[in-house]
Amino acid sequence: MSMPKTRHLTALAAGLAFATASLLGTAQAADDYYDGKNIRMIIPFSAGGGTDTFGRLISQYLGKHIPGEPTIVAENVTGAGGLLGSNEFAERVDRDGTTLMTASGHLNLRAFLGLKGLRLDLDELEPVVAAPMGHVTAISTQAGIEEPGELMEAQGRLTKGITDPVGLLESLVALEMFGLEYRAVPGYGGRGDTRIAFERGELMINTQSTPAYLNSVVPLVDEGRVMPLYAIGFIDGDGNPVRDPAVPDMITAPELYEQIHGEMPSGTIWEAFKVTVPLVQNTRGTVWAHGDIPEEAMAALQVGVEGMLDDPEFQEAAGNILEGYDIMWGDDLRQIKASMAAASPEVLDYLRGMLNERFGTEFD
Amino acid sequence: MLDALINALWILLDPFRLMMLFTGVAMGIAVGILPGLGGLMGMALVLPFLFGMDAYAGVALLIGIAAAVPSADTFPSVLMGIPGSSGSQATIMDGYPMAQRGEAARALGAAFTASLIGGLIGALALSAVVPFARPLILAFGSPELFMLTLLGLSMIGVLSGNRPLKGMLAAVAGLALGTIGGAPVAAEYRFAADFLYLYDGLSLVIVALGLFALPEIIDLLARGGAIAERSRGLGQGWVRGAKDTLQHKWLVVRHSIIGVAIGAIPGMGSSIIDWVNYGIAAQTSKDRSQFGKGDVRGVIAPESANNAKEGGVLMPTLLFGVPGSSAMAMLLAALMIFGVQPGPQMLTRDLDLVFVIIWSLALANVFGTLICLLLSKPISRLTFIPFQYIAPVIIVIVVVGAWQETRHWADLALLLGFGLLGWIMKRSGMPRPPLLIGFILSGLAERYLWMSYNLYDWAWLLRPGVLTIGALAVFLVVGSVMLKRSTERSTDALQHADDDRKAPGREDKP
Repeated sequence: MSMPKTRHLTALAAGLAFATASLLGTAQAADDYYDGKNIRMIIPFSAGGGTDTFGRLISQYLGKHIPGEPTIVAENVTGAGGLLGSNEFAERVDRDGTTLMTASGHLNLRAFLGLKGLRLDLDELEPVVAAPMGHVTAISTQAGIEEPGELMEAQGRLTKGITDPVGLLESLVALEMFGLEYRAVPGYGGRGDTRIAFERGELMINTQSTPAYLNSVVPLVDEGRVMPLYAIGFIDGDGNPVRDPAVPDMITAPELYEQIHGEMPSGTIWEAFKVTVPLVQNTRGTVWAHGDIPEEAMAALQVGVEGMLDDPEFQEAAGNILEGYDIMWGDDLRQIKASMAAASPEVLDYLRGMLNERFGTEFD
Repeated sequence: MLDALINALWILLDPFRLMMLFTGVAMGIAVGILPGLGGLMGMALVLPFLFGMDAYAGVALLIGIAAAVPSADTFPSVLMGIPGSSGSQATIMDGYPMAQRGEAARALGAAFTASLIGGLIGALALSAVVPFARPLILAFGSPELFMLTLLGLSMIGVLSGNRPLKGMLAAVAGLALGTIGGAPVAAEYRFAADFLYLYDGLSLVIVALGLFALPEIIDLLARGGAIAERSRGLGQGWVRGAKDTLQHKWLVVRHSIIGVAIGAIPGMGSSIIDWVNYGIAAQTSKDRSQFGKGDVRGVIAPESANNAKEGGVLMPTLLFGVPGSSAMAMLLAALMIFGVQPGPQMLTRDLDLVFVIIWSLALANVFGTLICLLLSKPISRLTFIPFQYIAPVIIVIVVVGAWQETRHWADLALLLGFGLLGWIMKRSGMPRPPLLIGFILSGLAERYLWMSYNLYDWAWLLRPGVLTIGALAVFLVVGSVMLKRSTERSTDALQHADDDRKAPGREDKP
């Protein structure tokens, strides 16, 4: 009777040994994959912008935590509003994990909507790490309202500065959701320019990133010239509005709608809002890798992200750059693609139609 | 306030920080001398090193680069007629003819002295005005900015010299070329034909290099010999040039102030500053006959403005977080890395950093221009070397300068195309600066005109700022025409036939 037992035990031992060896083999492969390699981080924007700074932050710190310690080199490939760099990443680089791209939340949105000329397909990509940023909309007190609840009684020509309509989509969808009549004034170079025009009294409604709001618009609020309306806020996995952690006391747009109309928003515009906001939440930056890179590469990247997040030097550097928000990774990141997948064709048609009608934006 | 100023100097005098300042200056000089590159590129190169550096040292490094580029970019402009950066294009107009006469060192000496004083005035203006600058900067809305572009366009007359019609034609062509690419206020892409490269329009660096650099190189190679036509030796060198500048010190002061003022207005960009200053200098001089042929004032005015503008562009950058020039966008990124938020509270919360920036600007200007002055004599010897020896190097540098922006093959095609256009224009006596001005201002003028209309319908025409700037532009144009007529009348009586006038069709003037 002892013979079969020994055979079982031997088989078991052999099986265990084999399993351990193959696990070690995988670990070995993950360790080796990036050994001696460089990673190229394409940043489709010019040096000095918010997304560029985020991409360079990641490039600086991620490399040393990826097994094999590859050097990550940030490269600005500018042109056509991010299209040149994105198309290069989408079509002209090897899909072996040696190239990553830092996109902004608005570039994600452009890819999602299929902007004409942009050949980036987010379905083919996997997010590696991202950083969120909230936005706040404020109104000039010349509109004659005393508190956000009176929004629909705002007077005068509600001019809103437009830099690039897709780049402002979340704020435009919010205004459309309220059904507010606004006059779009295109031609501003960037949100900073709209902020100056707002301060000057040239524009009546303005949306800024929450850090920019806290820094530059709050003094105007204190002077009584300007009034905060709502935070765009975030959307959680169940489609509920979540307050912006940087301004937790500020009402979000959906909550304000509920306050004015007595019920939560509904319909295609609301669906569009729920789809737009998570994609744009990562305005600071999303680092993408191709979805079909070797598994060892993907695994190594994940190990790198975890190591980087534990690195106290990174935390210190990130603290300044992220302006109070936390890095998104793992499950939080998966929500980006989940909300994309959940978007219905009606929502896409609505968004494309609105942009095309109002601003002449063209899609493929 | 005063002790904060002194305290900041002590902060900067730390050995490491001074070393960073010097490194920045050295990099700025290197980047400035190579045509086509600009401060932005130099600053982008050092960006990775800023992580983990202390804010004062990092700022010293960046300001060192930013302040040294407008000084050193004079070298290629004067010596070879090739724009060193977008800020020193106007210097070519008179600096290059001076080099051709064998007076390169004098031109450089005048330019660097003007740069030094201009840069210091810029730093002084920054420290004096920045507490009050917010309302001034806010006073310029879209209508006022449109009027400023018209003011820039009114320079075309004086930049066309004796060929006003040809100048206007060139300017209109420039305006048209500026429309290529994305429309400023709509999602339309003009003349782009789905070719993504053209979506952003043509690059100013490539247009300028093509229009000015390639024709010079071709003509010099065809003529044979060296850049300096007559081997006179270097003349009295840079000391003479420095004396010239000190003689015209009010010119320096006036144009430094104009440079700071235009730089401080966000939304104009900084490429127009040297042209506007050159134009105003020409328009307001009694004896204008030598402008374009080697009048040292045509070097002093744009050069002092070019350096002073660095003080100007820092104002909207620090006070509003809106970059006054592309190099300032890098500074904003650096401030973000250091955890400093630009805005009005910088003057209370980060006052010592603001003063360190001002001191860095002042010291970098001093060191930068001193080094350039020392280099001016040896480098200007290049103008005496037979051109066929240096042409290959220059051609490579120009091509790389054009290529490095987007590294797209179309960069090179455009460079060749504009080189051909520039050469044809030179041969047919069509002045090139108006084309460049039209090109630079095209997008800005269209944008601000539409925005003014969208915001105010036609009521914007009656705004006080609009009327003032309009009156100023008219005054400058009319005044300069009258000045020219009165000068011609008084010199006609004394003038003999001009033996130096070259045969028609053989144009040396840009």
